[in-house]
Amino acid sequence: MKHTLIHLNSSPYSSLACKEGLDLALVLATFEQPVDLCLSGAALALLTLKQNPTTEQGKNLHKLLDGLEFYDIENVFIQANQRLDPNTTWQGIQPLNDAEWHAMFSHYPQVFRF
Amino acid sequence: MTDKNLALDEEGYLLNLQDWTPELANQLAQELELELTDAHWEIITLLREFYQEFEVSPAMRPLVKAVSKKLGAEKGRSIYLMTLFPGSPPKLAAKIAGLPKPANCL
Repeated sequence: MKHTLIHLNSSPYSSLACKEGLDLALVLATFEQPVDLCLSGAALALLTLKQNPTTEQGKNLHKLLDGLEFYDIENVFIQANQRLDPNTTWQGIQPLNDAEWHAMFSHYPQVFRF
Repeated sequence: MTDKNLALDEEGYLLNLQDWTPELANQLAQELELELTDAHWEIITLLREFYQEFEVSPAMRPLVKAVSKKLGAEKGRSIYLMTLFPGSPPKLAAKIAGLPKPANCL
C-alpha cells in the first residue's frame, strides 16, 4: 500500500489548488490509502483559526482540518521555523526541523504538490 | 411530491442548502420509499451537524467513524446504516438531509 504525501503550498482561497489537494487526500483516505499532509508557503494561511471566506472564495477549507480524524489522516506537517501564532493557529500540526522536513519528501513513494 | 420550485441537481440533491426543512426531508424520503423513524433522524441530524462542522459530506468510512464516535459502536457499523438507508447510506442519507452528494462515493 503506497503511503502518499500531499504537499499544499498554494493559498487556500486564491485558486482551487489547495481545495483539490485536500479533496485528493480525502479520496485516498476514503479508500483506505494512507496519506499525510504537509503545508508550506501560502498554504499556511489554511491553519489560521476563525476564517470567514466569501461566497466567491468557496467553502471554508479550514473547517475540514478538524474532520481529518474521521478519514484517519493524522499527520499534518509544517516546518518548525515558521512563525505562527499559537493563539490563532490550528493545533493539530506537527512541526519538523529543517533536516526532518527535507528528509520527509524522500520517505514517501509518491508526493503530490498543490 | 416535492415542490417543483426547489432547485435540485440532476441526481436529486438539493442545490441550496438553506431550502432544507424537516418536512422536505420527509417528502424526499417518501419519494425514495423510506419512512423516517427516530433512528433515521438520528443519522440525518448527525450528518447535518457533520456538514456544518466540517463543510463536507462524509463517504461511508468517515460516516461510520462519526456515527461510532457520537452514537456508539453498536450504531457505528455499516450494516446498521445499510438497514436504515439501503444501497448507499452516505448518498441516500445526504440526499434526505439536504446536503451535497459525498464527493468520494462511487
